[in-house]
This record gives sequence, structure tokens and C-alpha cells, in this order.
Amino acid sequence: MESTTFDKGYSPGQQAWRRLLQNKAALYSMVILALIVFVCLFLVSISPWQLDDVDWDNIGTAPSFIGQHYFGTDANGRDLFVRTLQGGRISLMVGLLATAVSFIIGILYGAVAGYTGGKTDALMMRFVDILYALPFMFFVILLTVYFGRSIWLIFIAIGAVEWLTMARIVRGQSLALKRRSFVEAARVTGASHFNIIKRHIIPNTLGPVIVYATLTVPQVILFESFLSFLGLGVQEPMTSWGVLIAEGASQMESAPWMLLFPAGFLVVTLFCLNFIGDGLRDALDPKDR
Amino acid sequence: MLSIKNLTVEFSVTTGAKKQQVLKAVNNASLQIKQGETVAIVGESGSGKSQLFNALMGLLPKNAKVSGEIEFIGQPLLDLELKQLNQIRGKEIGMIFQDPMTALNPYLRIGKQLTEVLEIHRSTENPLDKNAIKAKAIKMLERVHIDNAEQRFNSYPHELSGGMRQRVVIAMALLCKPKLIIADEPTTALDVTIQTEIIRLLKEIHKAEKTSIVLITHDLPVVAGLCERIMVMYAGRIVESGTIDDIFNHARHPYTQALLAATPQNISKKGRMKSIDGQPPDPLNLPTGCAFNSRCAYAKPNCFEKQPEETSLNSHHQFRCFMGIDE
Repeated sequence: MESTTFDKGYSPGQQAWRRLLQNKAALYSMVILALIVFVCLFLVSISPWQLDDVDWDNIGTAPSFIGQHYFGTDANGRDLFVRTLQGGRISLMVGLLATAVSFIIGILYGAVAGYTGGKTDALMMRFVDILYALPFMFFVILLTVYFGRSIWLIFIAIGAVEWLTMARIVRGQSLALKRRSFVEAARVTGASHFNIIKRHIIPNTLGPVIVYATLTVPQVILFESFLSFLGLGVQEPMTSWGVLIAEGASQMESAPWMLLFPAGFLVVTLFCLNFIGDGLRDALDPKDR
Repeated sequence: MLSIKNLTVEFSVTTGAKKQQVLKAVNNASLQIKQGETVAIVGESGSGKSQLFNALMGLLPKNAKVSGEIEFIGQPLLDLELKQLNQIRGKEIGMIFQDPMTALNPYLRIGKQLTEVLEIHRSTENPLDKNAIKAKAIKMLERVHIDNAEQRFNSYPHELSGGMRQRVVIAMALLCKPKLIIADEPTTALDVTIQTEIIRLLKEIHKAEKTSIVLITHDLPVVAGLCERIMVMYAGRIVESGTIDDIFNHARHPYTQALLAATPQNISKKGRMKSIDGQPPDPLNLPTGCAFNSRCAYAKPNCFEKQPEETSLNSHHQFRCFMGIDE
């Protein structure tokens, strides 16, 4: 205690970050994922082809560097390299945005329900139960019938379903937190309910929520792929990994590269996200390791 | 300064197959605390001592029903709107919690938690800028004897020991210079050497700031070191109250006597500490008459029928027992 030099001290978040970096699987996954994101965002331009360019001379050709179709072409003569990367952009964007939407709605809704408690809580959570009971596919089909197919519809549909679990997790957490003494201490110092939720409840629920969010991203990407596979997803000539896999699956025997490249990207991405989520769980809750 | 009249706190609880029952945690309690006084509330677990002050601070859960009057510097606390209550809580009344491990938010630097109190109570006649607030908080950390207060200001709670955290909690309660501090078992979670330090600190603050202190505890030696008056609670009632001398040397209620006998100094030949036989009564099912009757060595038939009224021996010593009234 006598020493006068202190380091700044690590916040619980910084400590978790350090533990996460020590986790090999999570660290490599983060590197690979960053690489995939980089490739999808910036490497489209190294190919001379556009998303919907048709190369009449090369329809359904295998990967080759001579024709500059690095991943080959599809049955319509469109370059698969460009399409895979473009599809990746869409898939990753759907994954991140839909998760972010569900993250924000879920945290706010759950924290308010749990902190308020009583009848309000019961009412809010029964509403969640009702939404849970709606069949997801039915919901999406209904939406597409009414509003036509658009990428925003996918965000709404997926976000509307994914926030429910998030809200439940946060609500459970804040139920336990609101009786902790630091919350009572904040109340007796005269802090408003809004301030207590913002400063004391939400930061303390973030641990499990972040873990759940990282595991939601792959789930959402899969959802989107599933919708696209059924033909309810993004619209041509736009594409996503799900669409590409659906096309590739139908040509599997004659043109296996059409399946292998998008599927490979998707699988690696999902693996990475799952490993990161796993690592985060260990990092944020070292007691349960 | 603080006057509580006939305060009753009841909880409606659901037991078994949807049966609603009423649990009386505090039963008709009245007490007065003067400016600059130190008062101890003593009683075993479940005697209602914490609930009494939770009612005062507006910390009761939703299923609680409060009746009676609480007046604090002329303001009826129970009738206040939340906004008005928030003006008083923290500013005029500070609270120190039992467990310093959970009384601080693990995700915020202690400096931020300290300044929060000042930011909330920043008023138009007392506008403090950011630097002034920080300076005030650091000064308060020094006041509670935290070394290197300036660096500690930026620490997270997990970097401090239990005793230091309790000092931070005390600093938090003191920041707005409250007129009354409620310390709910402030030493229970700490080890013995730290306990003495914390009590010494509270005593020092009491002397310097002339703050009234209410100490809620079940530790009688701690009380003797700090307080001028003691109130003994049993099953939701204040059964005896008096000065240190009244209680320690002239206790009239059998429960107070038994409580005093149950200290480590009183170890029998077999090496066992003296205890009070039996269990405290079930608060859902209080016996008729005196709540202590089944455990009392002096119980008479009368004790099972009627609740003894409060008897005043003199201006400062009151108790609720039939014994010693007629004799």
C-alpha cells in the first residue's frame, strides 16, 4: 500500500479481453474471421468481372486463373469469385445488423421488465411468450406476401424473432441484480430509475448477453441462408451465401465448385463465430471454467 | 430530528396453495432520534430491525404495506412523492450497507460511483463543476483514511480489500454531508480487526460532523463502543430501549438479559457459549400475548394472554414486560 505508483487498473471488461486473447482457438478464429471480412469487403475489385456480368465464353467452367474466374463460373456464366464475396457481404451484414437490432431491443425490453417487476413484468413477458409461439416460417411468408421480397424484410423478420431470447436472458439477470446492494445504494442516493437501469443494471448484464450475441450471429446467418435457400431471401442479381449454396446444390454433380466455395466460406465463418462465442463465455465467467 | 410513530410494516406473502397471508415484520414501533445522537438497534435475524429502516428509505418491495408516521426534519417521509423522497435520500440521509462486496458496482470505477451521488444532488444554489466534484470526492476518500486517494479514485472495486471497500461505501454515504447515517450491520461482513477500524472511523465522523448515526447490528460489544442509546427489537417490536448504562447494567426485559448473557465472555464449564433456548416465533404466526413467552424463563399465564404495554422507568428507559411492573 505504501508504493505510490499504481497502474491504471484493469476494468472487468479489459480483464476478460486479456483472457480471451489467451484462448488460442478464439484468437485464431478472430484472425480468420477478420481475414474473411477483409476479403469480402475489399478484394472484389481484383477481379475484372461484375456481379451480374455474363461471360458467354465460359458458362459453367471450373476455377482457373487464365479466364480470371478464380472460383469458376455458374450456370449463367457469372463469375463465382465476385458472387461469393458479394454474397458474403450480404450474409455478414444480415448477421451483424439483425443481431445488433435484437441486442438493443432485447436489452432494453428485458432490463425494463426485470427492473420494474410485478404486473408490468408479467405483462411484458407474456407478450414475449406470445411472439415465441408464432411459427417463424409462417411469419416470414406472411411478411413477404404483403411487402414483397426485400433485404430489410429479412432484418425485421429475423430481428423480431431473435430479440425474444435476449430479452428473457436480460430480464432474468436484472431480476437478480435489482436486489443487489449497489442498486439499492443507488436508489437511496436518490438516483432515478432510468439512471439505475443505464448505469447499474445494463452494464452488469452485458457479460452473458455478449456471449449470446456472438452465438446469435451464426444463427442469423444460417436463418438467412435457410430463407434464401427456400427462395424467400435476397433477390437476384443480389446474392448471399444461402442463395449460392442453393444454386450450387442443384449443380452439385456437374459443377461441384459452385457448392464448395460458398459453403466453405459459410462453414469457416460459422466455426469462427462459435469459437469466439465459446471463448468469450470462458473469458467473461472465469469461475465456471 | 427523526421521529417514527406507530410504524407497522406488513408483507402479504403467498404460502402453499395460493393462500395469502400477512407477515408483520415491524409491529407498532415508535422511536425518536435527536440531532447528533448515536442509536443502536439490536436484535436477532428476522426481528425487523432492517425492515424498519428500509421503510424509512423507501426500499421496501412492492408487496409491503406500511402504516404509521415517519417524520424527518418536519417532513412526513411516507407521504412524499418519489421525486421529493429522492431529494432527501442520499442528501439528508446516508446509508451504509452490510456487505461491501456487493454494495459497489463491479463495472464502474469507484470515482464514478462516488461522484454520481454529488451529480444527482447538484442543485442550482450549489452548482459544482466536474473538477470540484472530483476534488470533493477525493477529499472524502482521504477523510475515510484511504491512502493514495487520488489514484484510488480510478480503481475498480475488485482492486480494493473488503475494509477499503467499506470505507468507500462510507465515503459515499458521507459525501453530501447527511444529517443522519443509517449503518445496516456495517461490520458483519468484515473480520474483527477491520471491524474495530470501521467503528473507530464512524465514531470519528460522528464527533467531527455531529451526524446522527443509527447502527443496526446484533453485535453488542460493537454497540458499546459507539452508541449512546440502544433499542432492542424482538419479533417486530421494540421491547426495551435505554441508554448504554440502562441496557448493559439494568436490563429489565428477559430477552435483553438473555441477549447480554450470550456473549463469548460467558462460556460455561463445558466450554459452550450460553444461548437463548428455543426458536424465534414464526412471523406468519405470532403467538398471542408476549412474543417471547415460549422462550422466557419467567413467563406467567398472563404473558400468554396479553401483550405487555410499554412501561417507562424514567425519561430514557422503557420496556415491554409484565415482570417488574407490580413488584
